[in-house]
Amino acid sequence: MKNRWIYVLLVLAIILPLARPLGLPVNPTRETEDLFRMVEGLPAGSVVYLAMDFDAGAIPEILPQAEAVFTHALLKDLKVILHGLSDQGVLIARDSLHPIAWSLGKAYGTDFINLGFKPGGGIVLRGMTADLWKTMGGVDIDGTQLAKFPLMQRLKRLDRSTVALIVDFNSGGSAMAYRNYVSEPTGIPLALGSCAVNFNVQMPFYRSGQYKAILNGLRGAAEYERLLGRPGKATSAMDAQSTSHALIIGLIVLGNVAYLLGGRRTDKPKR
Amino acid sequence: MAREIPATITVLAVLVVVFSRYFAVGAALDLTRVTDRWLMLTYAASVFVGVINLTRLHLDRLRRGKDTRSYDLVLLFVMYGYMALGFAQTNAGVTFRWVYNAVLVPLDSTMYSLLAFYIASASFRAFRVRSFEAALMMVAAALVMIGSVPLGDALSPAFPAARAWLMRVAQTAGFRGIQIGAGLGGLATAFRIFLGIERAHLRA
Amino acid sequence: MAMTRAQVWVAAVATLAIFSYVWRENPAFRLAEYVFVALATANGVVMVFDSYLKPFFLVDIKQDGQFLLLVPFAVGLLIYARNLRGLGWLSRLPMSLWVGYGAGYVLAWSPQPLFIQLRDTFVHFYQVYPDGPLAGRFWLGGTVNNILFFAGVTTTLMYFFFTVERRGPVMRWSAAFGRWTIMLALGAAFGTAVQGRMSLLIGRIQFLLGTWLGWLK
Repeated sequence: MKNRWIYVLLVLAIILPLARPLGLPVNPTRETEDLFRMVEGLPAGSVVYLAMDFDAGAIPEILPQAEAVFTHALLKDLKVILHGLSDQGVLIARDSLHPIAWSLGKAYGTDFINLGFKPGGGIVLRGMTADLWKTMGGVDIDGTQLAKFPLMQRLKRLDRSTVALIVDFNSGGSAMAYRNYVSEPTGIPLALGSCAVNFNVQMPFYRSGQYKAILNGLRGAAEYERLLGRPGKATSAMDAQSTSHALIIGLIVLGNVAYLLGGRRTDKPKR
Repeated sequence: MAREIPATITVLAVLVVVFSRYFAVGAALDLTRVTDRWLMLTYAASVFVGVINLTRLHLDRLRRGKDTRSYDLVLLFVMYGYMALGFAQTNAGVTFRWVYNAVLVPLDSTMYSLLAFYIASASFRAFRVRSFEAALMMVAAALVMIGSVPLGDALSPAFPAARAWLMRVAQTAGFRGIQIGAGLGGLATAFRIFLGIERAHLRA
Repeated sequence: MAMTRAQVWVAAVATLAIFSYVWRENPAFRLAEYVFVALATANGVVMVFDSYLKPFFLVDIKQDGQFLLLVPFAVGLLIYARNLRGLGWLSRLPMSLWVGYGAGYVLAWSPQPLFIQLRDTFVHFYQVYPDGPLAGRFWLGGTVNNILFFAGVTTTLMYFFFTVERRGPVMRWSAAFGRWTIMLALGAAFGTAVQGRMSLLIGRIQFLLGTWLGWLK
């Protein structure tokens, strides 16, 4: 079979359910429910720290997670800090999350703030546990002085008494930095919004309780949307996710049948 | 001189961090609170390394008259143009954000999504059951794929249950073993750097 | 994020240019590739400048007069010496600082979280139902899972243990069990890799058909 036929099949497997949704329900898993319950259980006014540690390449998977959790936090009247160890995540947050806050009638600097990006990875995080303002250079993402924001008055450093929960939306290694440099030393509970590719690697830390919850890629976002009762982008993609996975399984089976029938010769790829 | 000073700096840097972490005196002296800030400044100062490397590479290719000349020109023009725009407007500028959302975001997302096509092709061509181990791997892959989509839930509750067991028990055991090994390896490498056995960075 | 119509068109052309690689390597893909590298690099520089360098010079230096901070900044600048003939060795100063500091961070902060992983492996095998009508009674499923988990982790480690020759049934079977555990883990990793890549492709197709062409509801 030529590669191009496989590509056509794949595109069709995605387009058809997008055009004619099957509407199969998404059942939440324990890893997602844990995060939902934690956010739900926080008293109003608690500070939640959402780390936007992903770049534009991970938008389709991670942004829906961040949107769902951010919306949930604001609906519960929690205060949200946005910050990123990736130069792109905070820009994406400004364009996609800030409008959600405004639509819910929330005010910048009082209900949520975007601290922008700082270079240095784990060192930035360690610095924030000692002196948040100094580590941030005293400004937010737009260069405005932190002293002007009411929310920042009670946030001089990251510790258990100031921040109730950290959720790291990441497409790379930042989860380890939050675990080693912030969560372990300060005791602030840490949860992850992970892309599916990294989900496996993070599971051992979920089992040991070092991560309190993990959202698994787009599926995790769809589950959170269901729990929140606000189906969105992730939910609408789940049928296409089903059919594309079915196609891949079908291709594996077909490839093996051809291999066994063809005297165990390996198929050479053709364009 | 050119070797000794950097080697000494490496050892001192390790000592400062380790001392502040494990010794009460180091913590009281607040060593890393000061030095962390210094480190961030050194990182910030090095921000143009990527730009300079790209400039050198593509100017060199332009000079040698390679057939990618027009692309090299585009790269340099776009990079310096976008940077100038950012300096003039800041990252909050209307045009800067316009370009970011209209060009960088779709290019980045689409680049990663290309792999979906190659995974599909590889599934058909490369995923062969040649041994018991390969069969185990294929069964695990298939169960995770079907168990993590709503179609699996709809077909049978056994699929999401099997996936959950695989993810929480079997694969977590495998990855924990691998990660403990990798973690110990990381500690050993850090220790070798401290002892001066690992010095690849001094040849840069 | 809300995009203007012109932005949507530009984004659609950029998306199609990258997708064209599936057909074959072509000028549109190559152009998109070069533009991507250029924009991503420039974006990183602007972000560091805006969020760190600008406030550093305006507040710390100009306003607060902390001139001592210019020393580490100057050490960072030495990295550019690698481009100067005869002074290249100076770039090793910031490099050695970064490598040493990074190694220090690993030695200082990673052992504790790592050993929590070990501690969590050596748990009681005997399990009781944590809640529900059978709470407190013996739980066969949980007990078997804990035994399998312990065996999986330890034999995976044994599989990578090369200092002892694999002779005798205990060593051979444990290495085999470790190999099976690793195969299950890698199979699961392939499954989630498929999941992730498909999600990204679905996202781009949703953009083309929905946001651009307006065919999806």
